[in-house]
Amino acid sequence: MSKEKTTTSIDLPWAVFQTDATGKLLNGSPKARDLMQFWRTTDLSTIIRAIEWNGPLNWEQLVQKEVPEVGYYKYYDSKSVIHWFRFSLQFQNADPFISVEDITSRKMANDLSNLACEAANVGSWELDFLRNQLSWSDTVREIHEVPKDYEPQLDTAIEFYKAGYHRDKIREVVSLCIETGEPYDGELIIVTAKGNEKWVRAIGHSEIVNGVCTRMYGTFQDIDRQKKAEIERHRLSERMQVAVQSAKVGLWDLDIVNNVVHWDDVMYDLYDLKRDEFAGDFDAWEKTVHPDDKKEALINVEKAISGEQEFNTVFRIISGKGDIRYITGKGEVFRNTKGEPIRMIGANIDITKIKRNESRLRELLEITEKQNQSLLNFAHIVSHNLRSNSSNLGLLTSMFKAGKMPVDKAVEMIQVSADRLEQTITDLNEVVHIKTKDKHQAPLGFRQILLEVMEGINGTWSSADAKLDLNIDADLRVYGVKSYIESVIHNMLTNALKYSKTDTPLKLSVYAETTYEEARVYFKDNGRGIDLEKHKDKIFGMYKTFHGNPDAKGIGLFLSQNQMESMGGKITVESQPNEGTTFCLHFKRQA
Amino acid sequence: MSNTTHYFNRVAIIDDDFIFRNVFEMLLNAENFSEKILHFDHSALALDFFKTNPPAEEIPELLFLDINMPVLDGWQFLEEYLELSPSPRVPVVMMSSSIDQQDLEKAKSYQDQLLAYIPKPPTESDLQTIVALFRKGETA
Repeated sequence: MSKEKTTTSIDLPWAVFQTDATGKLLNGSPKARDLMQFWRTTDLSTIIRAIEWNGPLNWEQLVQKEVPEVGYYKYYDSKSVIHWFRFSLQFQNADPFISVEDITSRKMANDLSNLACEAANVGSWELDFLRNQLSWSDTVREIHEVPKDYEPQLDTAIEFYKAGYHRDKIREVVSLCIETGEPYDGELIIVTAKGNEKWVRAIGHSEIVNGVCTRMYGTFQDIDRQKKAEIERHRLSERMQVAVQSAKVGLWDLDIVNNVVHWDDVMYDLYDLKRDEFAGDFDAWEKTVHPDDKKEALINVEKAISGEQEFNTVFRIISGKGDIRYITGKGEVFRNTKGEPIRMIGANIDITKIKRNESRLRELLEITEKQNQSLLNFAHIVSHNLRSNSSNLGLLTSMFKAGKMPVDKAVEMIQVSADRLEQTITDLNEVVHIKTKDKHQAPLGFRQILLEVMEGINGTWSSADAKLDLNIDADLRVYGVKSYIESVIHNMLTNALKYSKTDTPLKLSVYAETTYEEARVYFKDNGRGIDLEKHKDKIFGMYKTFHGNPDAKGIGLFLSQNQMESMGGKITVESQPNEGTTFCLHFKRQA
Repeated sequence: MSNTTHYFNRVAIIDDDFIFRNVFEMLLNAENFSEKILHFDHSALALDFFKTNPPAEEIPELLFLDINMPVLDGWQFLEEYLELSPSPRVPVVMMSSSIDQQDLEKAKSYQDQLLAYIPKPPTESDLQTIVALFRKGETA
């Protein structure tokens, strides 16, 4: 090439400058001239002095020693936008040749990725097998907590991994990567130069040329905080799960928008349903709720969704096995930014045992009260029915002895008193029998029993011109003892007849209603009625009569009540004097 | 007791037990207790009798009242009778075979309204006590 230092053209399709030792432009390609215009200068040397060279040498030294070098030039255009140029210095016959490349867009991308790497604590490393050299980026050094000028060694770098599983693992995957080219990506613990344990994510790739690995490179990321948080969260959630499972807390999740209910395993246990037995929507849950509690449970859900009150309630369910369970349910409604409910999450706990104990306690209390009442009744019988007859007998005999009473009269009265004593003892025996015998209970057809009883008293019934309006389904079953039910029905029918009005023939309606647990049979008459305000406590008492009726013995209702109670039911009454009486027999529907 | 004169002209027995009423009447007669003896076989009938404002000569001078009766027991009768505030008020002798503690305590609380509380069966000496108490009340 000519040594003539004149400005001529170089016919190359990229930007190339030929300068003298001072950096003055001698020659340039058309693209190079365009660049001069872009930089708005005619003096290339001012630009050359602004270049930041990669190495320690400046322009004069580079030219003097003829060292090829790469440098960068930052130019602000008229709108203060930065442009980056890469200058590559070469020498040809001692003349500097500079090729220039606009790297603005590449530089920006690189900067961003560096920034991203820094922010994510991602470093990079490279292992050159040809030169046997390992190099780390600054971030990798920081992660290892080594000085900035630390030079890693191939054989010791792996020693940073924690001895045992972590070091063995990295050896294994690196060997595999070298031998087969299989990249790796693992989360492992290192021990830093300062002795701190850290979780890192190590990614490695290899380049294999002709079956020989020439180079490995990869990234190295500090994931200690995330990993420890994740481990802690995992540990907490495991602990929570253990707690939740052992406490038998069922968790549910209702997607309000799409009507999807998701249950955890415990919920299926609590409701005793198999996965295919629960359709997974709101209706499917609603179906499990006890009919008597459904209305309130639904209201409570609605109120929670509308935000009126928290969902915190107790309801009964019918489990897959058919038994009744008490559930306490709590829940929280989640809303979108518009405040519309979208989701409800909550927990269920089975509190049947607690409830059972509660009601057992209450039942025990009731039984105790009732037995106490029975004892009082017994005391009363002893004091009145037995004593009044025995005192009559005492009076009679003393009068007879004193000759103040004729024999025939005395005998007649002694006979009546003896009969009364006999009757009292028979009644007592019957009461004791109910109390002590544990009879076998079974579901029984009520209508059939009633018809059988009716047959026995048909005579008196028709002669009194009484009417029975029987409204009981043939399939109504009640749980009890047949002989007791017969006795109670007999008592209901004869009582109605006995206490009918003198001027109006008896009309007795018998009808039933059922709840899930109870069958209630009503006996509604148009008879004389009872003043319950006066006699409420006494109506089912022994030897209590209310009408001054000579047939009244005061034993019937007392026996009926005892029989109903021994079958797990009860008897209640409503009445208005002169308007009639309604007795209600409450039977259990199952054991 | 004298065989010729009676202590009372007219007394009433309110008791649902006809055996007791009959035997007690015999005892009263044997003791010449009263010229006339009225029977009420339950307390509502006795109450009806007082409500009809009977002439003075038909009103008994003494009531023997049983506790245990249907419809209105002795205590309920006593309450309603006192509410009628008849003038003059007829002294009441409560009679019962009850050994119920409640009845005994109730009798005590009605002490001022009762002439006496006599356990069944009544004896001759009970009748003498009643006569004595009645006279004491008249002179007081």
